[in-house]
Amino acid sequence: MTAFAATARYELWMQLRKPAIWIATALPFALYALFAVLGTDSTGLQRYRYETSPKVWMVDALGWFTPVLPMIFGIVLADRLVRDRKLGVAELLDSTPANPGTRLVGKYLGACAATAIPVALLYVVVALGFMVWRGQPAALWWGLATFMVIVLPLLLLAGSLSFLGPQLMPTPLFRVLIVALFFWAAATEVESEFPSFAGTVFSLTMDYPLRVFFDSPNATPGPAGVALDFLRPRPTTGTALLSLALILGLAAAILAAARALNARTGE
Amino acid sequence: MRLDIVRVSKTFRGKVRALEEVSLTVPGGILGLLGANGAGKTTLMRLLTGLISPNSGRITIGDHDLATADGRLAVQRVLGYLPQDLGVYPDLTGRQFLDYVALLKGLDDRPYRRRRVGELLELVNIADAADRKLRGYSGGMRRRVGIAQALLNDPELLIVDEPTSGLDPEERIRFRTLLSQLAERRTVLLSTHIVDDVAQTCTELAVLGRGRLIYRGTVGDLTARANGNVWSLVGSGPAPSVGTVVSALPHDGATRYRIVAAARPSTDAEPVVPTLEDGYVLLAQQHSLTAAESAV
Repeated sequence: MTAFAATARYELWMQLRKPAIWIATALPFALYALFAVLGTDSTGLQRYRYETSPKVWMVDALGWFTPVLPMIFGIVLADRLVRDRKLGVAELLDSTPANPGTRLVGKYLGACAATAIPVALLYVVVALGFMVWRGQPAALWWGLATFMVIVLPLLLLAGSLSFLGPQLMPTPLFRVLIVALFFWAAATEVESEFPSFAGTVFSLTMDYPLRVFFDSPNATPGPAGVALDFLRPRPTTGTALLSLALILGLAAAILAAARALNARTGE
Repeated sequence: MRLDIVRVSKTFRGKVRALEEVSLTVPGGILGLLGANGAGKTTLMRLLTGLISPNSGRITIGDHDLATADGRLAVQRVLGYLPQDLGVYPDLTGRQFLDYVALLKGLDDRPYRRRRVGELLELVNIADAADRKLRGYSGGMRRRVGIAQALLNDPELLIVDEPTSGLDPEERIRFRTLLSQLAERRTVLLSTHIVDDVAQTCTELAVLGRGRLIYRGTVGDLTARANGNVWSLVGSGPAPSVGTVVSALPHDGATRYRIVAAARPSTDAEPVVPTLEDGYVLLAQQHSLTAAESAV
């Protein structure tokens, strides 16, 4: 437990002091704020004039960030595991009695937590903005709910990919690929001719939880005969939870693969 | 803590044979491990720390067999290790880095851990820089942090790989004295290619050459082997081609050479008293001759 807590604490501390995570997180929020203030009736804050549901505000705001945030997570987390070997620290840490698997999980959770903090803070700012503007404290609650259900699972998935990918390929190439992966996930639709997981329980834009828990109009099954239709069951609480479990399970499996590969590299 | 290494071989992927049938016993105290770059010293150190496993052979440290997970864990609990290429986290301070390693070594008690980190920072003479980021440390200061982390858990077995590289002469002397003191009540393995480090700290040594153990004995015996094989010669022009030139010093418009050679290199060469370095050079000469003969 000490090794886990120590690794998580120091990883969190080191990652939080990286200006890159603050800058990378602030950029999409700055763009969002710019569009909100300067946007037209259909793109700016004005479109919320007759909308009274804080849930809609927060889900709508989330729609801006969902495709971009995992790309940012992937980019800023990509060096965390491989840098131990690059810096020459790995050999020393591996010679301690601390279990390597425990250390890896601590490093993963510490790095993910540090990456989540700037996002959470800026998300709170958005929620507070709505709360003050429309006098609805529930905006904070919906902000928290969307963060926990949508943002965190995506962060954990992007984090596990970032622990595995750079062990298999150069870190810059991995960064390009993770951006491409989440761009593909966000840009393709159910009816796209391009193969897509859109609208499935494996959706990397969290279509099922968004639809079921936050009434977002995604996760609609495609027309009959669309590829992978069997992965698009009727949206229910059960299928939304299944989708969440699949994303988290995928993250855990990828992290286990990262651990196995890291142990082999150490030999 | 006794070390028993029995017929250990290690071949890396790509068929690089790093160690071949190495057997070595260290009953305790300090043992110097000498060898040229690529002789297999670092591989042997990494095997002893449990970082890698041998392809064959057996390593026992104390009562613990390194082939088992429990054995490796038990050894790592009492181990202090300074790797050859020690890296640090540049965004942590010296104190934070030591605190982190201490936690990984199981120093759970916070007041004790803080006190221990403070003591070691004093011991390696970087207390003044303890709260500066490691990014700003010189190579020598980082090396001292490495030495401090190796001592955090007051180890029964201390393995140090090229510990004095990057240290200035004063620091090197301090560290050598420290190593000798530490060896009074623990086992210390000092791996180096700097012969003087071994000469000043060890009475026992082992020499590796091309992955094989080519000498195990006392410093005095290896030095004595060079008796009658070390010569001093003053000359100008190109260096003598016989034997190995150990040193070349300017001398009255010419050069004074110190040469290790089995036979007198020239009629005006004078025999001189050998040092450990001479003994080591002679051993390396003999070993490469043996290797060349066996290749024929």
